Amino acid sequence: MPPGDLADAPASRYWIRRLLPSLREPRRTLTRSGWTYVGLSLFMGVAATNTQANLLFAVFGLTLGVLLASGVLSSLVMKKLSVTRVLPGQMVAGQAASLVYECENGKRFWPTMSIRIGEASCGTAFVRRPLAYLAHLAPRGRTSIAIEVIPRRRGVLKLDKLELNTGYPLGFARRVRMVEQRHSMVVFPALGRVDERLLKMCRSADASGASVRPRGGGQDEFYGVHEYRTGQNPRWIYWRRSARTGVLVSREMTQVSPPRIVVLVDTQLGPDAADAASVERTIAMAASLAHAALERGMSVGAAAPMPSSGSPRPKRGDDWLLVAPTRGKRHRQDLLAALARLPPNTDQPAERLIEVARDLTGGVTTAVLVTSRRVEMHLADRVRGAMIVVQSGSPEAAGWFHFDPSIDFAGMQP
Amino acid sequence: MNDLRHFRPLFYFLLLLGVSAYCWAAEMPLTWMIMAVVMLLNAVLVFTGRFIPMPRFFSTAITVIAFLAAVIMLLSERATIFTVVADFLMLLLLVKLYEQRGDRDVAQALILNVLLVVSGAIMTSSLWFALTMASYLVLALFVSLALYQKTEFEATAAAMGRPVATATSPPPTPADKRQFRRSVNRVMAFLMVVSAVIGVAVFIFFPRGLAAQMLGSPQVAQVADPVTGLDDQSQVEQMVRVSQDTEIVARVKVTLNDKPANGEQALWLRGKTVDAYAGNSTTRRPWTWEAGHDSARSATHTVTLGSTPVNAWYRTDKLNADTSTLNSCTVALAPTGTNVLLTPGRPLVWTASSTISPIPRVSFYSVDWTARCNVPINWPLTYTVTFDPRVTLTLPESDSPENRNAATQPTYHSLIDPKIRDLAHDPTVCGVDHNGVNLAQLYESGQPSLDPEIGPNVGTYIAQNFQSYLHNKNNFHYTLDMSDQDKMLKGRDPIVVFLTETRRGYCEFFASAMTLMCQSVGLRARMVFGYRCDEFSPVGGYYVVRESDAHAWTEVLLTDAQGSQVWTRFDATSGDEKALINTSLSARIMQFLDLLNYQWATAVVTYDQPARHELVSGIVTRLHAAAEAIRSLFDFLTRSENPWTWLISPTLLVGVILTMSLLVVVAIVGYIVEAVRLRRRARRVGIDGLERSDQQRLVRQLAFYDRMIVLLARNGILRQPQMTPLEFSRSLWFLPPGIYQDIHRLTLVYYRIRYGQAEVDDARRRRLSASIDHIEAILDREKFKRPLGTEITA
Repeated sequence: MPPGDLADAPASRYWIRRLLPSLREPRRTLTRSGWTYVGLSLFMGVAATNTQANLLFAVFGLTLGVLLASGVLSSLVMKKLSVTRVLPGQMVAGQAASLVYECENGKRFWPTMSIRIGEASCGTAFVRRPLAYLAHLAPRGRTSIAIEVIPRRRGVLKLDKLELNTGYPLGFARRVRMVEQRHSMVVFPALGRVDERLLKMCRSADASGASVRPRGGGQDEFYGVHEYRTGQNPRWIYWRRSARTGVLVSREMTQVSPPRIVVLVDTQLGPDAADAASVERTIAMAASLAHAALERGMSVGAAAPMPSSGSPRPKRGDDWLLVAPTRGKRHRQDLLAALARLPPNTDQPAERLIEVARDLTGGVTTAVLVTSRRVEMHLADRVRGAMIVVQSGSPEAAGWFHFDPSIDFAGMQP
Repeated sequence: MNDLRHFRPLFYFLLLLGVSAYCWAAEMPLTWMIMAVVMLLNAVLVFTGRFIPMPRFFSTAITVIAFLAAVIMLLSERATIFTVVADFLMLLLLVKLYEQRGDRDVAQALILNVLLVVSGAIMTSSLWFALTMASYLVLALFVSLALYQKTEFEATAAAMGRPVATATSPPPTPADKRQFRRSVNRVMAFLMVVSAVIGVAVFIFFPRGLAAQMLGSPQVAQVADPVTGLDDQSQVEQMVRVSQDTEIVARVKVTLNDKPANGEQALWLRGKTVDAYAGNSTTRRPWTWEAGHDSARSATHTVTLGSTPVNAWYRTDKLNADTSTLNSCTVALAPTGTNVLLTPGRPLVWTASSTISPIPRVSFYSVDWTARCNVPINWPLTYTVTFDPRVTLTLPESDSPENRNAATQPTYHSLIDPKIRDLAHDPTVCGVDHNGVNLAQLYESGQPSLDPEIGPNVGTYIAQNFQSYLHNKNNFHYTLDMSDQDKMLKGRDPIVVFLTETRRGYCEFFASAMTLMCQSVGLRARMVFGYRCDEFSPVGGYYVVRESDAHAWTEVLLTDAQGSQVWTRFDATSGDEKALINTSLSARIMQFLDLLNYQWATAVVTYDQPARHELVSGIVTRLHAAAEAIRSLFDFLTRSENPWTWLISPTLLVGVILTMSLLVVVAIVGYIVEAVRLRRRARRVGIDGLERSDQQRLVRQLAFYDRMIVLLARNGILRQPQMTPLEFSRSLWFLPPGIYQDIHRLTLVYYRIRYGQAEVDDARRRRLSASIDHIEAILDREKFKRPLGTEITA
């Protein structure tokens, strides 16, 4: 049997379904065309019986034969058809992604024709239900069908079953077969284009001027000297010091440390339903900023309330999402995945968030608070000047972040 | 592959074919022309993009009005239900074409078209229509398949929110399109075969007669033009318009003296007889032949058509001893539109079947040995008649005298013009005996002739002389063209004109003249209308009777040598009895096609409950016979006195079973050993990580490489696991150049097979084997020693 089919089900369910035909897949239902055809066939039979015209008996038999053959064919086209879902590398809410179905026809002689492949358990996870059409697959043939899907929400996307559906050859009956294939994937929050001005603000030095943290290994400014080792670039030999000390020494130059930012995501949900959309916009902005900063080589970290129960109303003392700033593709994936899973909270205000994230935002790290509310900054923070506040509903934020107009933030909550 | 541009033309062609088939069956050429023009106009509008669908309310109004009109026509009984329904369907089809907006309307038009063709199937029994209908159904199936795919594809594209052109991924290549066509052909073939098998099975095995007319008696379509000459009255002057149609009236298979007829003799089929000529009577229609006997009283037997043979004469338990020359014929009669049934002679035993309801009744008339149906024959009818070629006057012994007397005497006589009488009495016409005595006067006197040659058979000689007189081409000429004599015949007795003035005419003139001349001298004579057929099909072994074979001749009641009174046939028109057998190639082809039609009519169209019973019984009988044969064979083999018994002795049986078991075990072991061997080979050549199907495919293909590896291993050259085959081959630099290159070449072949989907055929396998043999030979000969430092360990 194709992978993911009934044979993979637990044994009890397998035998129950084998023994009870009504529960055995695939299911079959007669369509309106099918009922019409059955009616026509019966009419032919009645006409033949009434008139005793031999040709009508033959035509009646032909109609029955076509009905029988179409029933057999609709089973045949589904037999030995294996469909495997291949998810894309990443999915972003509100953005189109390519979902691929790899189909293989294991039959030696019969083709597979006119199969609709769809997701049976995706609910409203996508803007439009994923649907692919396999027009024809030759015997022992393989093909891949790529379709465009747009996830509606961020968070964990679970896909359990595929639905194979056909009415071939004449549409008299619909056969449906469910293929169990479990996949889950994290859908990142919506990512928009971030204005360069904001990024420059994030890069600029803070009030202390200590925006650069020198470290060795670069070619910028003088950092120090060390003993020359075979294989190093002889250009960096510090001849003067070497002559003085009698030991061959080499200069070490600084490596400019990239700017570090920590995105503080305020996910506090108010009693007003409209707040849900604002919170989602906040998270999307935070993710967009993190994504854009990482793309430009910055080190990015994040902090946000993260109730461990995953409940939208976290209790006091629950965990926080605290991600230290770093770089890299893997870090980007992890960071965006973490932001995707953020539940809204009603207990932890932004002030608490700032306080908890103080360790992360210390030093030369720029803190960017993304919130949907108006936040009053303490004098100490003002003095430090290390925090940028982005109010998601403000006109400035609308100018810094550009999202696809078709994105509906109200429906993005996982 | 989802580009269904060809769908529309095919759809319109199918509709036109269906309408054409129906109009052909219903013989409605004008309707066909109108429908074709309207449909083609619709097609042109659609293809040029100028089509605007009719508003729904308008089309609904038309449908309702048409429906009401159909109901009114049905209630007023101005047309049969089939024609009314078919006309309604045609109108609906046109309405559907002109309001089509989507695929649903197309599907509905298709259904209407199919119903129209099925209506045509009720109206005709022609083989060619059946073949056309079969072709139509195949095409309709194909169009339905295409329509379904089109509908499904567009619906899915709409659900996906994508344009139709990009809804399929990836776009099909030419190879995909070829494969698609192949797949569609397979599906079509499967559909056609299964539906044909089921159709034939239902046709054969569905019980006939069950619940017939449960919804009322269906009206059979009337024949538009009944065959001429078989009406109840025949007016001579109307015969100028006799049809010369070559339409087939019947196909008749004749058996004479238990042997099939070979067509050497012409076939005479008797239809009806008339014996009273009205002449210029004012009480009856002038110049009309009628049956002078009382038909109602002369009917001796009326039966219901059925498969059980019925005697044509009641109270006849056995055939008369006189009827020793038994002959039979099977008549496959086409719809004639008349009540007359055709028989070659005196019918004795009658077998018929009917597929219509109510089942008709047949009446047999002893006065002239003809048969009639109680309803006009508007459907194909097949019947078998055992007949006596002699048409005797005397009824079988068991018949009642009262009936015999009543049947033999006509109730009125012919009105014969004196000129005809005078001509008949003319000695040069009626003849004289050796003594110069006028035979006509002699016959009227009732005396036998003194001429020993003539004796008491005066009447016979008179009749023969009359026939000779009319046969004389110097006196009379046969023609069908009587148009120039309309004025001459007007107001005058046409027979008198024929005999005395024009001396030109066709069969009815000749037969009328002969009959009246005989009657004028006192002979009992009558005119017979029927068919004289001389076209024999050697391919089918039957006579083909056409409308143009319609003929009239005379029967005269004469006494034969045995003293019986027999109605003797005289054909005053022609004396040529030889049948026409055309054996040219074109004639044979036509005869073969006609044979198909005949077989269709007899085997399919008239297939009924008795035929079904016979077929099913035959199948059951054959199955029983087969089972009986197997049982007999088994009995024969197991009989102890049978010399073949030792073949099945217990010892031998045990031995056979043991041997077979051993073979099975050996086969299983062999299979396991082979599987293990192939598995090891797969590991050696490095394909054990592949899918099983790929492993099985490659392990045999790469046998040469495995052999090479084993050969090198035997000589101490082992491949390290981490080495690829190419690296391994390059590491063998220490080998002689010839071997090194061979190994390298074999390695490249390995790669082509392993990764390049190449395959090794027999010729290539032999060349590879030869290369490895060469390597082996050199290695054995050289017994080379590996240079130091080149040891390679596994």
